[in-house]
Amino acid sequence: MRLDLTEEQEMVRETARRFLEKEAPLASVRQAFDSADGFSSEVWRKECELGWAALAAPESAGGFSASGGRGQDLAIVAEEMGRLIGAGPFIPTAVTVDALAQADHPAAFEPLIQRMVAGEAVVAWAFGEAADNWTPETFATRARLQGEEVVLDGAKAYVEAGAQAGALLVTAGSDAGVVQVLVPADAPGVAVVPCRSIDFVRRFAEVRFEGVRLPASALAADARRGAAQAERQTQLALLLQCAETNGAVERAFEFTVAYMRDRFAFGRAIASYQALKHRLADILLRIHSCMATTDAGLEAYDAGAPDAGRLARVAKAYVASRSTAIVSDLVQLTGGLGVTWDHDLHLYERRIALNRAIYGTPERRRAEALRMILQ
Amino acid sequence: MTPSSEPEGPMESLEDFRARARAWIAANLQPRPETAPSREEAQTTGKALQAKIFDAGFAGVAVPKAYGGMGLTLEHQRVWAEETRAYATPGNYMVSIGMMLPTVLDHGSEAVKARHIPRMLRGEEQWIQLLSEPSGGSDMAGALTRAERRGDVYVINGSKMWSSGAGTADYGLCLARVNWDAPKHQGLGMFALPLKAKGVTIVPIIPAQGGEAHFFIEHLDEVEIPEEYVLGGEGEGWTVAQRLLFHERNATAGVGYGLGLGGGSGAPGGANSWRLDIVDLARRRGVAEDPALAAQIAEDYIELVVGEQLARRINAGMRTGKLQGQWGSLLKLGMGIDSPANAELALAVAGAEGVVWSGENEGGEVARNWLRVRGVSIAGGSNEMQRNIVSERLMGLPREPGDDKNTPFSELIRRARARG
Repeated sequence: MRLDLTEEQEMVRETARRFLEKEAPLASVRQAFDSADGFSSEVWRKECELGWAALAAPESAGGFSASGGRGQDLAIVAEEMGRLIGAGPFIPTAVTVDALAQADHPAAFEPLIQRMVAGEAVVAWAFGEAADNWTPETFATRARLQGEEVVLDGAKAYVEAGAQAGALLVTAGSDAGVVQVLVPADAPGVAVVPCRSIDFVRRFAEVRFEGVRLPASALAADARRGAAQAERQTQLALLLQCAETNGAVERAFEFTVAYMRDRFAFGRAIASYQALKHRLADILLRIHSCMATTDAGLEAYDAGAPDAGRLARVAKAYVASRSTAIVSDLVQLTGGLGVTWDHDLHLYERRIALNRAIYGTPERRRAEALRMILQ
Repeated sequence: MTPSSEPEGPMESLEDFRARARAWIAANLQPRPETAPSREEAQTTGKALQAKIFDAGFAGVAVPKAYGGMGLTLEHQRVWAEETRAYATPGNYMVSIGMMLPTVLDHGSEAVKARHIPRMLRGEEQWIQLLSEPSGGSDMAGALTRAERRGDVYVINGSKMWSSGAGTADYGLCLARVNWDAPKHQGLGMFALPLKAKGVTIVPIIPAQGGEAHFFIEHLDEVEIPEEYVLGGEGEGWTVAQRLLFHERNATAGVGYGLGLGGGSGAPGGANSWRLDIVDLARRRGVAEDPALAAQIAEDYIELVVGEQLARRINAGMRTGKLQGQWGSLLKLGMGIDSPANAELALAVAGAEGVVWSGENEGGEVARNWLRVRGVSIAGGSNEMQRNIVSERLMGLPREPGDDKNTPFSELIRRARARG
């Protein structure tokens, strides 16, 4: 998180932190482990009442801004969710609200956006495909325009809240290029297969489309803007995911350091041993680096800067690979307690491992960043 | 001590100052060159340039007018730094004006401030620090250099080491022991020592990669220093040293009095001055897309970008006050870890061409850089010392136990000898 937040942004942060600590503490995350949906729609509705989804929406659809930087505002909430392994479908909602608000004919989607902002509707971001494919140009899912209809065939994977959403924003290839289509979850030909994930509360789904016929008005972005829109959404998803990971890493670091101050061995706090506290110094360096690259990426995203795509990939590559290394070291520093079910560290390891892979591994995003500068 | 000659009147606004500075800069400074000038060139052209800036009234933006400065604020200095960014500015005053001057301002006697600060600002005098010794650098408070009071003067005997720029400097702030029976931090004084005085012998330290000396050893033999050249009082040496290090870290991090004194091309002391451009090197070698190297090249590129982003974050935190204390140490630690990794990767990318070359002066850059790069993880406080600062002072974690803080220094020496 930035070190120069505005007063309004500080207020968003404070409110989010207090709400999550009271309404969605780690105990509730543990309780949701066995639940099918992962998140409680009641809590999600309350979170939306705080304006979390509204941060992604334009004013005309009930949106609000804490700073003028949409991505930066959203990242404040994402980071707070990361701190407490938040359950609600925040990132897919932020991405799809933004996507629908940026659609070719946004007015048509405004009623839906208003319901999303109120927490009454959830639209999943059906983007990635099987075998870890996050590159829209190579998607196998196809959209065909037939008269006044769009016909969709294919399959999406790793769709967060795919089984809980009322609709899905699908990115597909077409003869003319990448397009985006809004698909009601109950449309004939849509089959949703729920999946489990390593995370306690994040639920994913595979979604298959077999000859799904939709009116042309379901096109959120046609082939002229589809690829650019998909890229914009990718950037936002990557950066909010980084912010969430940063929050998770920061919180895990805080309680690990607190533990090391209290834990005595050989007559003194283990945090006093250079062999251990020097590692904490290195971790602090990397945590600040993770936050710095995330914030720089968000600034470029909000400004629509030409290097925004490269910086979002730099952030993902850095944060995702550093975060797993850091949390793994925190387990080592916590000792035996850190590998037990009852200790909270594994909740953080799980979220961080999930975020490492989803939306493209750091290895893949790093290679893309390099290609961008070599071009 | 407040200088009495400070004129009254409202302070110039940032906007007015910016406009005035911009006009003068455009009319008087040259565009920043592509490559940094040699040290020798920087010395001569830098000196003339600094005098020109001083004579125009733009030196020492945040230094009181009584000492030759402009009497404005560090925010005005930031404006000056922003306005001069695209121009060639004197590059060899970071230490003297960015670190030593504010220390003298904080702790110097009125006589020393009035006499020397204007000379420092005009570039007539270069000041450096004399802190480390051949017997120790990290444990700076363990200094063995001796300062004895004889009548009106102090007499200094001992040796200092790792002093940057001593070959051309005029004064050094020298940490020396005045009381051997006090605990080590309490028995120190900080002396403004004339380097061209009788009894000072300066020996260059040739670095492992060869080339010119950047660091020196100073042997001090019966060097006499008047009483008014003690900064902050006889037993206050450690307090002054802490203040000096504070200014040093700020300057390295690009904030405070050192802001905008980078000069040359790129900011010396900035994260990138220790890094080779791996992508460019790989391109020149035709291995940018070698599958065995690509991941490492990309990773290095990302470290480079993130290092700059981190510096901006830490600077913002210090500016807004969200980060209090020596956060420059965190940046220094990052450079100290990442730059050696960069140098090692450069060896991999350069391959045999990095270590064998034809001709007299071409080539060898990559291998020499590898020999030199460990400097950044040692000089100015080793990585290990930065980790102590980060963990103990920024995070507030407990120190390793030890009684060296409370034991008479003479007793510590007795113990060391008994062990040896």
